Amino acid sequence: MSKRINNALKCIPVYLWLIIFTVVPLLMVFFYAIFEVQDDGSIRFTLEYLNDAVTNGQYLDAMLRSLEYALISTIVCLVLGYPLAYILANMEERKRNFISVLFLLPMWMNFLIRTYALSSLINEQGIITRFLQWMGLINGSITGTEAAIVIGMVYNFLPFMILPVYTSMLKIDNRIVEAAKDLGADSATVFKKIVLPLTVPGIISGITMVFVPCITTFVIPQLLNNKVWTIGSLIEFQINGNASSTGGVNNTAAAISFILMIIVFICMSIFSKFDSDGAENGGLM
Amino acid sequence: MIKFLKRFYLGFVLLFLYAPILVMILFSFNKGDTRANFTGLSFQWYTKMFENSTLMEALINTLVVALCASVISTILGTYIAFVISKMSPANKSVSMKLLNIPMLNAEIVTGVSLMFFFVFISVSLGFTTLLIAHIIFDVPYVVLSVLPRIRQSNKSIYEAALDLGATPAMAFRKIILPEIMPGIFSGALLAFTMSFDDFIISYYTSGPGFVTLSVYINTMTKRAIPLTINALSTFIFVIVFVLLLITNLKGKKSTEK
Amino acid sequence: MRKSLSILSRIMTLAVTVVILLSCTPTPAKAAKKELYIFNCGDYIAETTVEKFEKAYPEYDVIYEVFDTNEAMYQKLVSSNIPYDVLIPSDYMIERLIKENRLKEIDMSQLENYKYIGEAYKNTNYDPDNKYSVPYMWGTLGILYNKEKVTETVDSWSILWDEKYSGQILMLDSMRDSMAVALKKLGYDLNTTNQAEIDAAAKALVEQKPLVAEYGVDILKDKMIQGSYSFTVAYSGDALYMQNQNAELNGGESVLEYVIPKEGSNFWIDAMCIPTTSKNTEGAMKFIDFMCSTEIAYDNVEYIEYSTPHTEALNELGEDYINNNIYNPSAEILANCDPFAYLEPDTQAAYNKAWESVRLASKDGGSSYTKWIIIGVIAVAVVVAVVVFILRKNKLNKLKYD
Repeated sequence: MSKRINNALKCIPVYLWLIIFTVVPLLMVFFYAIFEVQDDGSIRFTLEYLNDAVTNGQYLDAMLRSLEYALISTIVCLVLGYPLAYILANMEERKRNFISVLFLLPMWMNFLIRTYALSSLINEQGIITRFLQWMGLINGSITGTEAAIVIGMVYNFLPFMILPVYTSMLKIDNRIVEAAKDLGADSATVFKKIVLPLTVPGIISGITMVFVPCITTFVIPQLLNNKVWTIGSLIEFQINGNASSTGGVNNTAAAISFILMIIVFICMSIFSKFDSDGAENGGLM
Repeated sequence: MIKFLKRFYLGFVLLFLYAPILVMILFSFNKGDTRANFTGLSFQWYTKMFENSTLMEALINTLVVALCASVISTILGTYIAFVISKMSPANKSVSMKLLNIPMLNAEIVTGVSLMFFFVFISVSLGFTTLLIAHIIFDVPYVVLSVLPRIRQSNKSIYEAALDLGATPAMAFRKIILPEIMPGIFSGALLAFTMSFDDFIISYYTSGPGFVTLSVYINTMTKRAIPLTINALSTFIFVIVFVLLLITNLKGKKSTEK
Repeated sequence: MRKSLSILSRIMTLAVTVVILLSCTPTPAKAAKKELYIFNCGDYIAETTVEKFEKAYPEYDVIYEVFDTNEAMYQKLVSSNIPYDVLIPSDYMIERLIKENRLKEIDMSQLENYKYIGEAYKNTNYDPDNKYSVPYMWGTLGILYNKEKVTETVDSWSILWDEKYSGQILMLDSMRDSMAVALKKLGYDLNTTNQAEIDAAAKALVEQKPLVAEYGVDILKDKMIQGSYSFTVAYSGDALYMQNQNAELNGGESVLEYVIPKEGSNFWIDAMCIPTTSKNTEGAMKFIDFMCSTEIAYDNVEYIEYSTPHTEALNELGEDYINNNIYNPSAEILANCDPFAYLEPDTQAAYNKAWESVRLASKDGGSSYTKWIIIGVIAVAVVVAVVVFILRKNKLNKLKYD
């Protein structure tokens, strides 16, 4: 009995931490989305900001645009990253350890600088642009097009797709694969029936780790194609473009962030549905 | 043939990831002062980098925050992982969901929400707020890498140690800790890397008087980013890369033996 | 996995070592020194200046902070409790700070080097009696164009709306500057408070959007230098920089030309001032005076390449600069240019809203079909998730019954 109480007591600081530093800040977003601090310090309830965030056609466009870029980038990351993780997982151990670290290494170089350097490769004078022009595939520059944003996102977030998929592939018990082969399965069947289902959790966490940052990044569009704002740029403008004496608190930004948060959570729960399904299949194997 | 294709593909993706970095490194040796054209070889940006006290301060700030945040979040995260591993399934699922929020939520929302939070409790933005923010988004990474290790760890050895007269603290230190150490290490490293590379959350939670490297670089994207930044990035990159090569070569030798 | 972990842990160890090394080296004894907080725009001072000041006045320990925009500077000034001693904001922000009583009066007679500041930069709108600010840099806003691509005379903002140059125009990603371009093109005051005029300017910018290749600030420079585009809106200092770089690239003559359009433009001054929060006003005065000394003013202007209000530094730069119509435009041209004024919160909000609508407008004006594809994909994803969820539940139920 006392052990149970002891355990319960140990839970308290953990919950306290989670509530104070995770739940409360998110509630603050909701708070500022519906309450406005007046000049005299009093607080006024209002739904106008939330209403504006939902009904403003331009905000909606920006949201959809961000979702579009994120969706395309995630698909590209998956298509590029999955085979790569597969190749990597089938290499000899020492080699693959080294190469998997190579995918982490760029993170040690500041991401603004990396994106800046990328833009110098794909702008109108960049080597890649000139090469593609020479091939006759494009005219003009890559920066300033929507492809540039996708390239930037893939460039920055590809490792986040490769690593979870790679880890989930390493976890696959080789004996299962061998058993399947012994039972006469060809490699396509092995892949379809074993590798793919068992890597679903990796794919899901990869998708999550790519999709969400893609929706909200404002630096990548700013450096690679700054023609049209994404939802991240909009929030950033609301907070830092407005010189107000409220110390950075901005109701419109709060309202948009709140809507964004809800969308992200909906996406999350959709993904996790797929995930638990996959995990179940994996478990049945 | 297939092997060649695999190699080619791997090489292609690595080239895609490293080409911009190579360009960046190249321009850190530029004699001229633009990113537009390379006029000749020079080391001037490296000497200027060390002379630039603001830049050096930003670098130290970044390292200090990343180090403090990763150490604190490693301790905190390991503790949380232990508590969670002992929770009832219902409790466990709730706390895991809460814990994952800062990792899964949009960075900009996390940053903005923390800023609102600090403003609401009227703490002025600075080192403390930045550190807290970093700890908050680092903790989930630590917990997620420690938790599987705890699950895998062998409880019976721990109990055997207790039976043989070890105090719980001693049994913990001698049995459990070595078993989960790799998890703690990778968690700490991940936390350090995330802190070091973070821009968006730092951007919203750092204040005047304490600027990290990415926030400092962002103040300069409005004007030209000086090539000293290229030099600094190259410097960090080369150190990490050389270290990696050395350990890899050493590993090779020891496996050959 | 274990191996890569040990590699990673070594990297970690190294990082720790680097921190320790770095934090050990550059910390001389600070104990007896008085702290002096300087708050300036990023990369807006010669790299040696702070060092030289600390050498000349060893009793002060300079803590040098940077901001990216005047707005960010304002927020940090107001919300933090750091006792900044010297700020270097732009004219309209100084006006706001004066109005809100956030600046200390400066006794110019105590500044030995104030005499070098040109008369043209004194008695300005934002600080009519020269009580609060000492000019640091100045410049104008204009059009920089590529002579090889544009053969007609460029003398009006409206050329930026010419469909002939679609995809050849670069615009500044800066609210006040771009709004000023549109307002001046329409013949309005660039500090207008008239809502209809603000809306008209926003509408003009939305109309212009399909022609614009890119919005940006710094990122535009390389594009112009390399000669890829016809037009950009630019500050004079940046225009000069782009010209020089372009000349270097072409090995001689630059093909870039800078014009202040006939409708008029913006003339700005960034100036040094002392906020009321300053705790080391004596040090602040010394710093400002130091910045006005000919040697340091020259250092700074040589590094930043913006126009200097310092007469001696200008002389030292030589004839090329004095006679350069970008660097030192004639008095008539300057008379046609206005500084930005501080906008009251309501007007500011109207400008923000206008600029927001410009930046959010989709590039081709109309709504695109991709929008519907995205909505479709999301709908399908939701449906699939729900179906999967229901199927799973049924399966579980079946298992239970079995």
